[in-house]
Amino acid sequence: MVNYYGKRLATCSSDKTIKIFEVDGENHKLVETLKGHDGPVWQVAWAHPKFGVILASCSYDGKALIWKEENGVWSNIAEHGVHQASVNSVSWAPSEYGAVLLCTSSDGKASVVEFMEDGSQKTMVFQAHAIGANAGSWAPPHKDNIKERRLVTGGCDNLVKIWKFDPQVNNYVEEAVLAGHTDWVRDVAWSSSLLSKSYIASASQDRTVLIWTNDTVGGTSPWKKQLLTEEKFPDVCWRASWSLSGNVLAISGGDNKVTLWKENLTGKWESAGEVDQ
Amino acid sequence: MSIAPSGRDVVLAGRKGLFVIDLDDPFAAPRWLHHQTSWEVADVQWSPHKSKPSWVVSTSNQKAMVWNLARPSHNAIEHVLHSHTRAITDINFHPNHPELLATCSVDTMVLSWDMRSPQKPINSWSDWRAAASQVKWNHMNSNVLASTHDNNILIWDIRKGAIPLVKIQAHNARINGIDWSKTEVDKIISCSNDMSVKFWDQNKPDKAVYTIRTDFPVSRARHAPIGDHICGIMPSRGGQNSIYIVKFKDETGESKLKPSYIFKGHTEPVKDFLWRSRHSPNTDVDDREFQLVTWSADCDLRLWPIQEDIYDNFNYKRNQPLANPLPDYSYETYRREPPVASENNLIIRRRRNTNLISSRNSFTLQNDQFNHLNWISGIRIGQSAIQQMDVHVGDSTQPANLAEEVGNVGHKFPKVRFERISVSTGNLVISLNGPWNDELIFIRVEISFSKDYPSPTGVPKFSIEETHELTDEDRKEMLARLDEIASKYCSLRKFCLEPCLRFLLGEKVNLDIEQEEDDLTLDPFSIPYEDANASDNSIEVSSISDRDTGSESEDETAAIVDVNKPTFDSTPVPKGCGAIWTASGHLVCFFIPKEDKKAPQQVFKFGQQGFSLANGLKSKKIEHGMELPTSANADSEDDVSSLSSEASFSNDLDILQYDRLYKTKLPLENVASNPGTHTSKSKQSRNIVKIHDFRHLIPAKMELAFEYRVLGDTPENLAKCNALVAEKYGFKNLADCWRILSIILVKEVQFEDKLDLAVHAGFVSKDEPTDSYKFYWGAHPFGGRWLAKMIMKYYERRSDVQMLAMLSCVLYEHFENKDRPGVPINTPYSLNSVIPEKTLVRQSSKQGQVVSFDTRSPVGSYYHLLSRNRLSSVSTTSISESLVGSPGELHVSNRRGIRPQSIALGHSTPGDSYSLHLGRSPGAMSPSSLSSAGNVFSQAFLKSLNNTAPPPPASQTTVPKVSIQMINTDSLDLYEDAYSMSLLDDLDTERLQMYRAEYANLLFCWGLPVSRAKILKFNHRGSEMPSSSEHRGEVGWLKPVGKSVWDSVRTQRKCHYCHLLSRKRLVVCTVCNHLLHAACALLWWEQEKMEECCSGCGCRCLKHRLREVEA
Repeated sequence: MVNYYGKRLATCSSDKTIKIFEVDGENHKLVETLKGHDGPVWQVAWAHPKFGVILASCSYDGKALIWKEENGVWSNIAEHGVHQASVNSVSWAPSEYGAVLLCTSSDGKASVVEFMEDGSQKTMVFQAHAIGANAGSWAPPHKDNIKERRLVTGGCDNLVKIWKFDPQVNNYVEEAVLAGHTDWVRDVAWSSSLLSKSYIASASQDRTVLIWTNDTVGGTSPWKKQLLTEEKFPDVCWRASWSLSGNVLAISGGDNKVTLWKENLTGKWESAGEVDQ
Repeated sequence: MSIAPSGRDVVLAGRKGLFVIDLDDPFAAPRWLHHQTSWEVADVQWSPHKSKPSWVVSTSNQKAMVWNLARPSHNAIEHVLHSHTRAITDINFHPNHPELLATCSVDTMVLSWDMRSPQKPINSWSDWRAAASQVKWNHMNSNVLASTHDNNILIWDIRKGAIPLVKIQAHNARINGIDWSKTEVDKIISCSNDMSVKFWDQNKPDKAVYTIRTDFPVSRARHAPIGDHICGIMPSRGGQNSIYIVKFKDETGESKLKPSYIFKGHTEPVKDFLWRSRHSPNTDVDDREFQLVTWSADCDLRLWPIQEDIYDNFNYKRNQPLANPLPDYSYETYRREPPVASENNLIIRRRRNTNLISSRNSFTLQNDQFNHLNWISGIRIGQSAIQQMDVHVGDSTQPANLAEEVGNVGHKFPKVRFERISVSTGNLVISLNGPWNDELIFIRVEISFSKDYPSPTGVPKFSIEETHELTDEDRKEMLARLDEIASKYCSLRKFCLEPCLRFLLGEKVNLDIEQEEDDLTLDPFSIPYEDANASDNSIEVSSISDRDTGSESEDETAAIVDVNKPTFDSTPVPKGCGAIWTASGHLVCFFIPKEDKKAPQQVFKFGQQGFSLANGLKSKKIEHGMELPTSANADSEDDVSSLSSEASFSNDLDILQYDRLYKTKLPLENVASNPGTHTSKSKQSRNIVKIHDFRHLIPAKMELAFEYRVLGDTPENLAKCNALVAEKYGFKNLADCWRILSIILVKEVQFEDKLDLAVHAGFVSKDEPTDSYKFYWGAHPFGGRWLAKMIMKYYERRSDVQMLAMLSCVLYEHFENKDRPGVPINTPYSLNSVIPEKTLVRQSSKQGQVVSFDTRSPVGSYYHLLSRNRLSSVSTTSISESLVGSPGELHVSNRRGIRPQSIALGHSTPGDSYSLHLGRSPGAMSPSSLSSAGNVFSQAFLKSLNNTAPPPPASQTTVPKVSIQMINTDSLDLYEDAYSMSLLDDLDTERLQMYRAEYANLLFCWGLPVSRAKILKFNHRGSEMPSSSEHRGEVGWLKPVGKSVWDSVRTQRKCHYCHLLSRKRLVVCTVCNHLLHAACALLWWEQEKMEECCSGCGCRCLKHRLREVEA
């Protein structure tokens, strides 16, 4: 529920508001409180700065809102309301694709909406997970072929699914279904680093985190799964986040702890730290 | 705050007006008498007289308002007492005369008023020097009153105006409060900012009878109505926000504070405290019971029970015969508006079992009305209120009472309107829109709860209002179903309001409660629901605090979840805790607020380092923790004395804590060993966002990125430089790696025995690579591919994008070199190769034509100076080597050797110095002479470039234009191949590009756009440059195709002969489309006898058919 870019921190809360904090050195101050959602706000995401100071937020009210700051004034510039139920996650696509936002919703669908220069929106909706889609994450851009876009979603059907954009049907089609969890998948994260392998981490309420790896950059070969830890976590896992570089994975869960994991040279995942409240 | 003499109502005054709270029915919304002022209300007092039970006086800056609560709220102000010229600081009703009251003010005046003639004061006294802060009538002698002015107490007689009876120089600092004894005529207590409470006899003004030293400034010290010589002491700040009860009977001298009882529990300083007493009417024994009422800046109004042991402690013996009968006050509330006040004669059961009532003013204001639900949910009675204080949550498994249930449920169903809530009588009227018969219809339900709800015998009764939309059958069915649900829940002693509402809203309600619970307890994943309890509620509760709902039962939550399931509301429980990486390697974490932390938290901090780039080098170590309350808090803080904070105070506030350490040069060595402890000031209900620094885990280092170099020098120097950088920051591994690389990358080795040649090279400085020997590792396992590959592989495993990208850049140029030797690498060696750069600039500016390198962009040409040196020496070396290696093919190699040279020196005259050298070299078979040839070559070359010294005649005369191009270098001999063998050959170019792109992305996030651009240069496809940089234009005749003629005619419209706009008769050439006026055409073609088009396009228009048209 917290996101960060540069010198600003946006937090969202179940009090229906989003708060923007300006962080400058050791100082920080509340710059703005954004109100507009009719329900708890689940997640916020900053867009790439080349589009301006833009924040996306999603809420229980089934909407995703796009906020923009211009000359210090925040305003709601767009609304994305194709979902029938709570929108659980928002995630901006790699900036190379343009201003493209992925939303996943409890109505089981995921949507990819592109915000055009002229203010119009191009929306693609696809049925992602039965019961509900909880999280989505973009694959890092494929350098040569920008059209080759992939994303991953996780949902209440305990599955993680890889989707690939198919220009023929002009929508995302299922490319791979990764089964391994025994309870709701709460978060998926596709590592942004383009090293030897593609990494996807999925955190689930079955108290495990799975690391899915693929040797080919494109992801054509079958995905291999690996448990982050043999032992289950003490509590459900809520969130997985990759560091921008270096592939350090942060897992947070119901035990109110954040644990950090790093792959060692033999391919095993080792704890790299822990943050308690 | 003031309490009614009957002890039933409490009045609170704030800038928004007066609030009357019925302490016996705290669930009822308070009565609000609007009176907006911009000044804090200094005091409010309820008339202590039986004859005027509805009178309240409050201050509003320099005016005092006398309210009559028996009148309607909009018209309740009885009198406005206005005579002071500055703000009133205190008011005091006369204890004996109902019509008299005294006020005192900052204007130093003390006035007394008679309500019967409120136009002007009846008496006035003044200290003249200092502002008055307190005024109090003597309880025994109705002619005496005391006022305080700064450090002094003045005691006045109303019959003697000008001079005080007694002046007590009481304290060393401002006096905050005084209180006359109720039993002794000349005893008075004073308390002050000088951290003392003093007990005076007015006959002995020189010395206090007894002094209590405290460790906090005291704002009030008052006699307690119970016992003998008991007083309550209230700190103005500090003192653990408690009320101290002190016995002072027969005490003299001076002592420390020795409280005999402490009322502790508020989280902010107490603003006022009062004693609330009740006794049975017309009694002749003292059967009074007491409660302490406190009102604090934490917006809690608390009622404290006084237990028997406290009575005993205070020597208060109940049921003693009374000398004087106690005054009986009618036990009425003025909370209700007067019109309905008459209904209020129903007996309200006194809540003797009530331990404690804490009413938290977490209500919000909605259109001049309180949100009743919010008010209710802010009230805690007994167990839950204590819990709230002691922060032990999770023990209680049920909402404590109906009010809590209503509060909880009400916030869960924002669309359900609670039209009437009467907790004390157990009546609820609810209206909602429910889906019945496939449409939303309006339903109004009245529910009456019995006293023993929820229990098998205390099933609430429902009645549904008849409306035209609702058929009788439906109504009956609904009632039957509601009864079923209610009795099912009540039989389990569970609260049934929520399932009933869910049923009315059209959701399915599963009645197999017990079984589900069993399921849930078996289900290991029920834990999240418990943990997420607070936040779970807050989803639906939204604006109301987690804390309020935090005590909600596990069972209830379980029930919610179960009710949810059939409707497939699959919204997952919110994540109470999470961590997100930032681009800079910090981890932003938020947590479920822990409620069981009373002791100051010890937060172990990982090493923290400058967060922002700008501060990265600050040498200060700043430990910084602060609360960042959200707007709600800020709002209510400046409005603290009034009940009416705009936002709910118990809203979940975020505390944003940052604490970092700023360190200097050695940031990451002592990272893990530099724990900063931080005492969190957080309150239990707030979410905390923390930013932790985990950059030591991330291989890519920002500080390295600042100083790493990829351009501007030879690769080995770059590698050395980077090694130093890495070493400086303590990354030994990286430094070692760079060192090894710098060794591999060495291309030119200085030979001692070539010194003579260096001498031969005379004017060239020793630093110049003129006397160096080319040396290549080639495919040697120590150098070249294998090592580079392994290094890359290692860093790939380590996921060190920074190193990967840097390596790919530093090792990069060979690759480029080999492929397109003639074209400069897109590596501008501009940064540190200052000298050649300067010379270049000078040359090109002075002599323009001397050095021209193709038609490159300036960026490209910078490069030339360095690379050309190497290139040229490379070629000479290769020639010589080829001659040595294959003498039999002298001719061939000669030819091959010459060819590149001749091309390289394209425009030079045949007899120039370069050719001379080269011509000689085939004949000289010794390597030394060969290398000398190379050296001479480069010397001369440098000479031509180094324009600073008097240029050697050869270069001046014979090298007007040097254009060097290397062609077919890869078809040259073995060493050339070895040289140009890319160290990175085995690695996928695309992957290298990916590294660079990713690293560039990182650099961008770190705010290093320049470094990013440098890295990205390597990603630029050099091969695109030669072809795409040419501008290709198509030159040719425009084909006359039908309409296009007319298009062009229409666009041009000008006669090419006279340059005037042509409208009418035109002659258009069908080939060149140029047009002429018919008349001009005649002139041009006929008279001038011209053959070509007059536009000068060269078209011989007459050879084609001209078209004459009408436009």
